[in-house]
Amino acid sequence: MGRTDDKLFEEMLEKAFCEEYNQELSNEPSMEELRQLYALGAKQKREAKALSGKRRKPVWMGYTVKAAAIILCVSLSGFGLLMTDSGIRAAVTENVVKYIEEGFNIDFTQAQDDQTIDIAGTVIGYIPEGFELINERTEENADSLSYSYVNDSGEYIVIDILTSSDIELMSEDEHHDLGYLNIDGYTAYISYSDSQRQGSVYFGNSYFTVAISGMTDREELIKIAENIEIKE
Amino acid sequence: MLLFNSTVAEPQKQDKISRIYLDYYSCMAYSAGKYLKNKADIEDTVHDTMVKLISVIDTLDLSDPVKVRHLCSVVARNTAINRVKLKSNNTVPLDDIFDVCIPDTPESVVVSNETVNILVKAINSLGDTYRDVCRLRYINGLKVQQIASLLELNEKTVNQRLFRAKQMLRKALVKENINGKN
Repeated sequence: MGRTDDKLFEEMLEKAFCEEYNQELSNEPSMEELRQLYALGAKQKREAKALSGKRRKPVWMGYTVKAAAIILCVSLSGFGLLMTDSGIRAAVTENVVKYIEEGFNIDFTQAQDDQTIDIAGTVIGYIPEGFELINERTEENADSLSYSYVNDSGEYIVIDILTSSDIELMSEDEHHDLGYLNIDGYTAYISYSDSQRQGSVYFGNSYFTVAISGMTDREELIKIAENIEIKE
Repeated sequence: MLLFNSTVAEPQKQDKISRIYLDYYSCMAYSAGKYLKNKADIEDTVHDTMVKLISVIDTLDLSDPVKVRHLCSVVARNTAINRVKLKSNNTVPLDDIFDVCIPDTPESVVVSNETVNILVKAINSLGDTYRDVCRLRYINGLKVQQIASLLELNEKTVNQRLFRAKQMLRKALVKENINGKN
């Protein structure tokens, strides 16, 4: 059998398998029906979203957590001298562990707290040269937007816009410097590592959070943040 | 989910994994649920399926939801079957041995709807063992090595199944053509 025949046969097979699968699929429940049959739990959804960049945790918080843990432990050891009851000791220890495990939450409530936004109308006004949009995603219930950019060197920039201030920030790296900025009237938090040339900028209020993470210069991250147009 | 997180470092890959998990969890659970009744077993199967998908995450194209759904379903189903076999201590049955001579495809065969329909009918009679391997190859465009990794088979077995399936389909096509001419 000739090569032409082989190629032709392969083409036919590809077409036939796709056709056959489409026929099978028409007898299967739709994705919507499947989602009702096997729904993901709230915890699983949270974990998956965290993985995809939602609730991204900047690296500087780990250092803060460690420092806080040391301060708490020192304070508690002093306080412990006063504690004679084992029940009280257990309760205090449990609270400390819980506090450390849960980490800290950045509080955006102080900034322009009366403003609600239409995230669909958000405009990304600036992206450094060389970066191209590879992924733009809106969650099903339209409560978040995510843009991923990458350049030829494989460096990335991810911008998440969430209609929530519920963003948990924790991390394991102490090489990032923490700073505060003012982005269009919002208090913004920046965590940046000069040695790793990467960092994150966060700003928002009670109704929304913008999280920008990327491998680019600090000034570029700030410029991206300054050029994000939030529509009320 | 946290385990998946620790297996990859790049945000793009993490994003892909998360998308597959969020969008196709129900589809994987449904495929596994056809073979497993216990909820914990189904969840474990979805987990194992995700681990397998991560091994080929680099090459996965999520732009076509039908193809991704297919991939998730096939891998989940095979993972569930393996779990059932493992639980019942059954050994995996050897493939049926086919003694098929290789008929030549007629020179004049063109990719017509009629020909595709003949093949679709033949594919329906293939059986899951062969169909899964072929579908991963032709619908998802995966390499033999990737199929082997996803279905927990060795590469030789995948090659063998692909070869045999193609032989059977060629045979069906030729038979149909001969019948048509008569």
